[in-house]
Amino acid sequence: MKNWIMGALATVRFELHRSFNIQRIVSMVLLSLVPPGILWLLLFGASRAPGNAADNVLAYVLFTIIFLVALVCLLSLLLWATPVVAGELEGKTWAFIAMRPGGRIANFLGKYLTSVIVSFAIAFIGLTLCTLIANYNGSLGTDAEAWRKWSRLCLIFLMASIAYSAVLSMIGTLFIKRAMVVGAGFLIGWETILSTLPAIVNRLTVSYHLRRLGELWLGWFLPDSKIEYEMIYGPPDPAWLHVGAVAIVTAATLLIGCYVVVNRQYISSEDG
Amino acid sequence: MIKLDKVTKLYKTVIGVNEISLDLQPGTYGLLGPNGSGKTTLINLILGQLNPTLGSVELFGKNPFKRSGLLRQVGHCPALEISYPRVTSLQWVTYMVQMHGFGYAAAKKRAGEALERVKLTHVVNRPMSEYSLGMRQRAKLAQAIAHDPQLLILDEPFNGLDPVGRFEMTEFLKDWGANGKSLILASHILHEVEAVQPSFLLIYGGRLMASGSPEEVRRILANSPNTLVIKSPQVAKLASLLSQRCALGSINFTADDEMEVETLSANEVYRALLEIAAKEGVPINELNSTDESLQSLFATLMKIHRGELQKGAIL
Repeated sequence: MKNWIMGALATVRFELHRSFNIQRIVSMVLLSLVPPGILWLLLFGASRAPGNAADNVLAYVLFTIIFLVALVCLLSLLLWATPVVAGELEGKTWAFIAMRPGGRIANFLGKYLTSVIVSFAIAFIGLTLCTLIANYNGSLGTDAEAWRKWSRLCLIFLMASIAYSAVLSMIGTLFIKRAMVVGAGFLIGWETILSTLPAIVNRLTVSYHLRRLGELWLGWFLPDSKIEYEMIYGPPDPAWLHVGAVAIVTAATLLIGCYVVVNRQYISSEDG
Repeated sequence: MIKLDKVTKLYKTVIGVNEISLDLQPGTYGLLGPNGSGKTTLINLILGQLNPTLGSVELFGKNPFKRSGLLRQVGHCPALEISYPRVTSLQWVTYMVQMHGFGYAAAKKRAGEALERVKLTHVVNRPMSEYSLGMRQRAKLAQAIAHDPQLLILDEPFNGLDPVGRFEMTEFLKDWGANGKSLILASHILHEVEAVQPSFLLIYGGRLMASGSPEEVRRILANSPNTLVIKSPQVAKLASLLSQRCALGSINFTADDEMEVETLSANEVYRALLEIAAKEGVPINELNSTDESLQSLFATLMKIHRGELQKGAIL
């Protein structure tokens, strides 16, 4: 156990250290600038639009922020979490890592933590800049209200990073080739389509629970649709139930990932 | 130390190793076999990275598969070429030592000492992507020895090393064995392994064909010539000096700057080449050993195995 923790922390340190180069920093900054950039363009366009058009855009500001930040957060998770094993096999470094006591689990957990840190950092920067822009226009209510929403959204995105990183890391241990494609398929097919189905099965998705937490903590964020929405999905359960569901998914997928990574016989040599 | 009982490993329908039984006591061993013969599979089975399809493996008295705690006592240097852009050897080796449960400061100290031992101190803060093949090979060795293991397993450690590097590696491995630690050295080049004076394990087609001391293997090799390919801008002068210093079967000039030398003692030729380069100043750009000596050895062993020849001394 001690080895896993020490090894995982060493992996986080090593991975973050080797990420501190100009290309990676620039790509991360650019990625986190996408949501505020698009939001600024939307608000700028809305401010110049005549009549009700501006109001229509402003009514969707919070939803737009959540959508854009979620998009870059998930994109960074796909880039960081899914190649958890494939990256080591391609770099031919797996044989060195697997040769350490508890090295497989330590590497898996270390890379998982790294992807959580990176994806949340990107979401945090994007969210903060979006809040600043929206708050400048007064689109998120009063100043205090805007930053209250920001703090709740930070918490939701932290939970999203923790949960989705675990799921995508597990996918990375199961699918060596095209792990990223499978991960993207999971996010689109399972987390997007299935979570919006008006059936009990949607409770199996992480995004359903995060969405309901959003409703509970932020208030309703889409105009004129709350009644219809609750007719289809019902009222949200207590917050602890949704948090618990996300925690269970995280723990379960991490355990499966650890089990697979320890038991699977990964081959990284062409030599016999 | 290592015990294999009728171990077979199948990759779907392909046989990696075939019914290998072994009982190795602490010591120095040379695992010899041509490319694709099953050396790496055998090493991965010993290290618990692969689970045998049939049979059982024991490392220090325990099944190594899923028991990675055993790996504290083992250092492994795979034949794989690592690619970590922008990572220095000190960072990488420190990370590898940390994965053994050492704190950062202790790991960095051990990494520094190991890199000093493999003579990389002057470049420890340079990215490994800028290293030559031989320097990367040394860095790989450093990560294998930094945690002070009891058993060192090296897969093709001489790859990419220049003659001086090969000599230094040989001396290092001899020291390792002399200090009472165990060593398994896998290679497809006989003279490289021979220089460390190990007991031999000869593997071919996934089968352990023979095992024995260097004398026993040499007896088989008595009539098997070794061929070396040497590149030098002064190849004619080199040939002349070389023939004065050691007995050569034949010299064949294959290009303006290249010759093939056939000899019964490759080690003698290596020593002579070092002397010529040092004393006569003749540059040697490249030295390659062909597999022919090993091929002839295995050809002999296969004949014995098939019953075409009488059992030799080492079986």
